[in-house]
Amino acid sequence: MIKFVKVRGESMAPTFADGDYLLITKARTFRSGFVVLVDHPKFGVIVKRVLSVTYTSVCLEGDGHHSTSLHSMKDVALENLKGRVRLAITPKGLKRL
Amino acid sequence: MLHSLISKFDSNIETADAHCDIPCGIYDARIVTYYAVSALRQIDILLSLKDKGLSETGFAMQVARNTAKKEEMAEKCKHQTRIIWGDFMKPKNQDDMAKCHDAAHAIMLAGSAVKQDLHREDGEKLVAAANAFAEIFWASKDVKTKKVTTPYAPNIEVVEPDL
Repeated sequence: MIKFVKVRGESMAPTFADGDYLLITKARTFRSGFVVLVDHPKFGVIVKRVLSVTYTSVCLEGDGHHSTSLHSMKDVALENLKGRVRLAITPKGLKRL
Repeated sequence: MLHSLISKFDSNIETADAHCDIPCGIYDARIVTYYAVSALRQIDILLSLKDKGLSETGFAMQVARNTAKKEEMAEKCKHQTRIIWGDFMKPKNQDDMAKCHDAAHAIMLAGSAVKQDLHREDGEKLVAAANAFAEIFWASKDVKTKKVTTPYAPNIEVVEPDL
């Protein structure tokens, strides 16, 4: 499955900026460092980087220095991860992840 | 090019939030005054352009550039106010609520005026409204404030937390 989403916000700067488009693909496994699309039970659809992984959940963080780890807000279950970001389409060109 | 092509299908594309304010809980009114001062600075630059002896093309380019930046700074000032006002502000009583509402609304009006036209008074009103908002914000955190003059143009007085 492939899908596009549009970034809203700056917590993933400088990797992504507000208004960038992301190409998302399904992923069977998730590793630390992956940038993922998450259907968060509290915050809705968000994009974050995987900080650490357990058998059933992941801890996420933003790349931006204004963003902090979501660890303190409970880990996110693997079933909430909707895909991995493969490509960012920015006004300046493409950025592969 | 691909970005602008995809943007034509914007209404069909889902949005993924990368909001700082949702997970991190960092709110700071200094960003409101920062953008207000920056908008005022753009007004000053625009008003001074005619005395710079620029070529017609150079003048047009500078006007376009600084006008775009002026409107961007004013909009960011309004945007950051909306975030703090909507997501953070929890005034302690009804009087605080009224003051908070008035200050935020004053920023909305002054910010729009700065975007629409080119009057220094509008920029000064935006900074004054941002200062009033900052005072209420820091009071809600029981942080004292002080007034300082920015050490750069437009050298205007802003409210800062006395940390």
